[in-house]
Amino acid sequence: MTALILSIRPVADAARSAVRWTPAVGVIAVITGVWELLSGAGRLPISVPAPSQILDEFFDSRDTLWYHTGPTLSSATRGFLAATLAAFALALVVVVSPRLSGPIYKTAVIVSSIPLVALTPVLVLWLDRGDAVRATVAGLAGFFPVLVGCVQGFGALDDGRDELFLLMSAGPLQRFRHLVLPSSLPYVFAGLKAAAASSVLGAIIAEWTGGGGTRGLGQMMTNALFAFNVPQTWLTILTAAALSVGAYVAVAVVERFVVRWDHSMIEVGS
Amino acid sequence: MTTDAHVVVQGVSKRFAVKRDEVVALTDVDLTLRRGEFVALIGPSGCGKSTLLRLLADVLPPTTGAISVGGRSPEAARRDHRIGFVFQDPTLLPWRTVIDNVRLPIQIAKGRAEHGTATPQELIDLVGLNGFEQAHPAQLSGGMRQRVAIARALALKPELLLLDEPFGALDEISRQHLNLEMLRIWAETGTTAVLVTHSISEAVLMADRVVVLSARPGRITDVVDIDLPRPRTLAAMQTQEFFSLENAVRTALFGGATPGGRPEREAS
Repeated sequence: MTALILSIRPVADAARSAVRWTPAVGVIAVITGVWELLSGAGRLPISVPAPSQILDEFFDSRDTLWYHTGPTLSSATRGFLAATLAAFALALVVVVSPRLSGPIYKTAVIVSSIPLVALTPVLVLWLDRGDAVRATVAGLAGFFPVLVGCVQGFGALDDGRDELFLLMSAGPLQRFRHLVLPSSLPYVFAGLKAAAASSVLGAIIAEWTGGGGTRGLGQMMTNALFAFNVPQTWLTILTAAALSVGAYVAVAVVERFVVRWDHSMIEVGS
Repeated sequence: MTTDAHVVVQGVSKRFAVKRDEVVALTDVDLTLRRGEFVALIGPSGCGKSTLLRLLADVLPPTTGAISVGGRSPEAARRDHRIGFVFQDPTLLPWRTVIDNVRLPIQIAKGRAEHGTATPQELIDLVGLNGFEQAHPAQLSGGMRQRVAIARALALKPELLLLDEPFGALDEISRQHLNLEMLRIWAETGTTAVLVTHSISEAVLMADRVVVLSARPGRITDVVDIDLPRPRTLAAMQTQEFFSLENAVRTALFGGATPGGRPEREAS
């Protein structure tokens, strides 16, 4: 009980997340240190630069990196938002008409099984290079996790609370707004977090396979690769990973503000 | 004693289809509740007492027979927001604060409750949760959560209050405390109340009449009048009258043959 009360206090929260993140940061620090030492001793292949070289490259080509990162992020964001809206709308259709859940799910599985690497060239033919293709691929990468999160969330009702709404003679809209939607949020956010990370990577895949035009992190990555600029290649790889993690964390922060109650209450159901 | 019949149950039975079989949950139930009366339903597991409560609340339809609540169907009474229900679990909405949980039925009814509504703050005071208005359910103890559930059930001034083992999950001390609180609230609101319970002493302490049901098929086997004076106190539980009424209920439950040597199995 005390732990529950403490958990809603921001200070205790910050302290707890510091404790939680310390091991991860420690592990990364140790790996980086060993990596630097091995590299200094000449024990690594030439395709692997030292961490310090990547850091130098970051300071040297900072401007280029920003120049290429911006379009990738904006397309990824647009794709993610479009995917979220589409998935939410389809999940609503499933709620209203459960008979459609089979066809919608199966179609979604098929669409999400198409390799994005193969799809991009086709999309380029239809949409031309640039933002549209990039955002579309980003959206396709993020669509399925959001759909699964919404459909599962909308179905994750506590029986007792459902009976309560029946007893109160709540209408379908009232039931959705006051019961179904809030109950679903932990599931929806699980989908959104996975989708945010995937959308960033989807945008980069689109650029990689020629969908992005002249600007984009994926473009910078291929440029560095073909120029055999090893530190810059690694810089772009690490940036892509950081953006993906950042997108996940951004959604997690929003979740913190929206889902303020204790999750365990939903699982226990009392 | 008034003879103003409030809830009338006539020839009600309820059968459930379980795969290809049929289970008879209730059969031949006739029961009349006076307005403002407190009735306890007691019986072994599977005697259909919770089912009977759900028939009164119009969560389930009866298979045969008829029920009227204040001269209309349970469905009309439910749509009128005249029925309050307290579950065994508090079934609060964890994303709402205490006062917003209490306010929920008022929000849902949105002025459709023509007999008026109580104010959430009055209800919070009534159940003794002053100072906890802005707390979330996760921060409350089990007993406090159940108080919130009681306040919520009273939000639309119900004419019929249905209590489905509301204190069954609580420890003995909180339970007796809430029993007395419940009696005080019932007396203040003047509502008709039906309590489902496993506990003989709880039934005798609370009710004007204890309705005894037997299992498989669920049917009413006896009705014990509890003519103890009100307001009732824990001290009343120590009296000879209380013991003999408990014994009368126990006899009705076990058909006179007290299970030899084994302690009676009351729900904890």
